[in-house]
Amino acid sequence: MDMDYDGLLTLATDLGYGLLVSGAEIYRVEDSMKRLMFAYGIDRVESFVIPNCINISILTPQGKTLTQIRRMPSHGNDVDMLARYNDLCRRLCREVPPLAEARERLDHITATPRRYSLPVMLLAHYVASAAFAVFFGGDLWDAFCSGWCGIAICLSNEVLSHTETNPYFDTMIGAIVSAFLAQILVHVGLGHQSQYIIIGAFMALVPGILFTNALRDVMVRDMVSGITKVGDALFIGVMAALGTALALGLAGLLGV
Amino acid sequence: MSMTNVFWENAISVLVAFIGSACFAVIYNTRGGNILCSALGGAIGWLVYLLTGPILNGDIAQTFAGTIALAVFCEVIARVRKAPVTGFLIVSIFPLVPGASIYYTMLHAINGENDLFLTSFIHTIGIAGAIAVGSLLVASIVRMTPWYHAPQPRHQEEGSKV
Repeated sequence: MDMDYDGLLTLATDLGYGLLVSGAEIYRVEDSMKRLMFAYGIDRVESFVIPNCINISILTPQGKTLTQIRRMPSHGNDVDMLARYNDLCRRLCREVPPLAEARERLDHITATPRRYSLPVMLLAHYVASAAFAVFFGGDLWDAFCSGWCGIAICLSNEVLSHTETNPYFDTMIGAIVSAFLAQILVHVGLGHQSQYIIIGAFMALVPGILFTNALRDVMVRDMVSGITKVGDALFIGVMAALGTALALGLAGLLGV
Repeated sequence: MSMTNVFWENAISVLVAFIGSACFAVIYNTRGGNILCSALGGAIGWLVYLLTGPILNGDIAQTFAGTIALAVFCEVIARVRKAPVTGFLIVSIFPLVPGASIYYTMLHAINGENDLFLTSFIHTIGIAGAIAVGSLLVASIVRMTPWYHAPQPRHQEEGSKV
């Protein structure tokens, strides 16, 4: 019985790619690729995943070693795609359909991402920022202002996502725009305490999730991933703070 | 401050944690009923954080308790909704995550206030560590239950579908 092991390997790598790009944990990506291989009858699988690279190597029943490496772009979180890829992996492992069909189902998911429209995203950013401004101690006016800063962050992300920038720069621009807007709104008299306004909007920028996930990776001894992510989180944090400091300094200069 | 004031303040913060988590669920592209589940997880985490205040001293221990509560909730709801637990966890953790604390840490660093920087930096790591250990503890216990199956090679029988 002959099987297209190269095709199978590419399928597994693409699935791992999809999972990792959607924000899956390292162990989930490694496990999913392994499970898929086991389901298709390959007993020797080694997978090694770090945030910017997927490595997978298999030994076919004919005794041939096949390896694939996939470089990862920088990625965020997409809960819906993660759920769909994960569900697909589970189904493939249970049903073990012919390779062509599995391929088709994977491509279908990749080709049909479901995203919220820009107005919905703006509204979500507004309410999230306003909610967290109140959460950290601001009053209703601070919440009102913080929402606009959240919208500023969302819009700057949206604009920058069409350009070839890196996430550090994006974070810094978002921080500058939102902190400057916060200073203006306080100066005009709409907001009362600029720190709560800024922090409320900052929940969308600050790498809290990244930092926590990094420590989780360290604790399951995915050391390379964990330390990479800690470094990533620190850089993003520094960029957010630098952006704010810059905006506050600029606002001070302009007398706002 | 009177007791009722404290009560209402805390009630509002739980409500706000719920709303904020729901919005971040949308931002992270959660769909349908899962948004409500994630938001509920966020509110539960923060509620337990507040409730354990009088018993535990210090917000690191409170964060730990809150994380365990929300992680258990997320593990259960992930099985009910048949979706990866990560999707619920990353959103539910938002109210506990040391976002403000990271912000203050970096601001102190830039202003050259080294003492304050170190204090808030260690505090941030403490909180993040509490969240990581708490969620990991729950995840590890789940892996000990019979419902979890580790990946196992399956020797292919003759004449299988492939």
